[in-house]
Amino acid sequence: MKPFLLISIMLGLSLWTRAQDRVPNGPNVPITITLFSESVSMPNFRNIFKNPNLGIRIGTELYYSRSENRQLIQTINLGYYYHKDFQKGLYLSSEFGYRKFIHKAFVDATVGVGYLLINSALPRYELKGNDYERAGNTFGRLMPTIGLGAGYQFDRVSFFSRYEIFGETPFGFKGVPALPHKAFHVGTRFNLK
Amino acid sequence: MKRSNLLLFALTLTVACTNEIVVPKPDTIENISYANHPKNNIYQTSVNDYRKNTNSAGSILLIYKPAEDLWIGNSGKSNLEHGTSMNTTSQFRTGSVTKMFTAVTILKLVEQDKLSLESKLGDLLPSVIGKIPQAEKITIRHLLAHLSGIIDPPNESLRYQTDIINHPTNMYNMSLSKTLETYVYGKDLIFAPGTNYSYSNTNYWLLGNIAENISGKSLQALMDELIFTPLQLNSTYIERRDDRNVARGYADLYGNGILQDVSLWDKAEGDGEASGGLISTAEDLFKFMDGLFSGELVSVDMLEEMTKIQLPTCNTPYCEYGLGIEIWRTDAGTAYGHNGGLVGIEANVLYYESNGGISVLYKNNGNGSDKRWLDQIMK
Repeated sequence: MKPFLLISIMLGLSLWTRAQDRVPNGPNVPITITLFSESVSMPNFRNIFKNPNLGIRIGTELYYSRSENRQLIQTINLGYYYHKDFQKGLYLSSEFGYRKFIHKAFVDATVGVGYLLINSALPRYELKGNDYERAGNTFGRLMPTIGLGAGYQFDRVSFFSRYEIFGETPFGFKGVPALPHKAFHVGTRFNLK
Repeated sequence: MKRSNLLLFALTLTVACTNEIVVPKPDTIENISYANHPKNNIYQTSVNDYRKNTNSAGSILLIYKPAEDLWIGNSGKSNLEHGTSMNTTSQFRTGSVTKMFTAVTILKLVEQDKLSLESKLGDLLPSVIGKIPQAEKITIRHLLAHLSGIIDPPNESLRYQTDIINHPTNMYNMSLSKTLETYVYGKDLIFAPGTNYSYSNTNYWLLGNIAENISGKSLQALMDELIFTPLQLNSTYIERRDDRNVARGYADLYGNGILQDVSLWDKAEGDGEASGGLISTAEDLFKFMDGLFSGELVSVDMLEEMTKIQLPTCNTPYCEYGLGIEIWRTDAGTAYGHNGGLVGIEANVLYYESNGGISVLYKNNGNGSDKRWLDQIMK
């Protein structure tokens, strides 16, 4: 329930606050930084804060359109997470998104794809001739991603939380095409000006 | 170097630095050769082919037919990290083959009049009343034969499965009561007790707990007294021990032929548990099956009960299950035994009714496999 509470509080705050600049001033390439908790999971909010596997994401966003009440965005992100006893992931992703402002609060939805460079904690072996030999532990996978976020815009900086589901594909164990992950982000977006 | 390049280099280095689990080096163990057996070439080819066809690191096959000497063969590796050969004496995780041992333990307690097949779960484990529906109606027989209707987290709960990936050490250390509380308590039964069949590891978690409560002994001590020592199963145990000499488990997680060591997951799911924690060897499993079906472990009447389909309305192969025993209809006739699987292993033990033959088959890749070729050998 904690994520829901956080989102509710953010939305509630927005109703109490007098509207100011709905469209952020400054350059069109803001910097976004989030810290996130990652786990292998179907979409749910269970155990997001329990024994978290931590990650960090740094990115920016570009605007297809940008009005007082809404934005069409394209994000570009570089992220990293450490999942103990399973893998480390480094990814480059881009998402198309829609952001709706309600006073100074906002909600957004994104869909995108990335390239995930995985470093497996589980040793890997490949067949060479008749014998298995050690294979490298680092390999790449496609990373489809969808996300929902909510936040609050101050003058040049916004704070937000974001729930993301991403996959690593192709997977293939017992016919499962993608291994699903969930990530709960808390972050900030700001203009450098 | 530019600052951006430096950042990229640092990130690449970070992801490339190992966080890999450490695979302990196993001790050297003795391999007993059966190469002088008249059918060695035929059997050896079979186990080699089975290993290759299933993309397994290693495999073991045991064949016993009353008209022949015992044969055990090995192929491939038990531990890829250290290049350790799979041996005829290698210890391995048996998965749900364990259920036969747990069932025999319970049935020995029944024979000792410490409980009956109709004893109620709620009476034996009062703590589950109100947490498992109809616990006062679920019997020992229902638990042994998967007729209880209690859910099966390892096979049905995505939460259970992903929890093993996310936190294998936590899962390994989780107590039974916590496991039940997290994944079982409060969930509806799939059907009313005794009215249908649905395979569930929970039944055997509960049976292990019941056996320990009634005897006042650990499952290891109980099995040692009732099974391991009488049959001289010197390489078999169910308690948690240093597992450096146990064959590692592997899985092709990404469907690209590359095997990954998933022993940490197998330990988390199986070790120490009455549903799938037994570690044994091919020869010990043979001795167990030989002892069971020759009447050394339970009485003839009890063995008959064990091998009887327990669901009265069963009309498909899916529900052909006795008391801790699967009933297989093979080209070599009816066979009794059990299959076992974890993410990284598959084990299979069968006793063939028609000729008294026994087979033990193991591989350290958890994908399912076609075993019909074994029927031809066992005819």
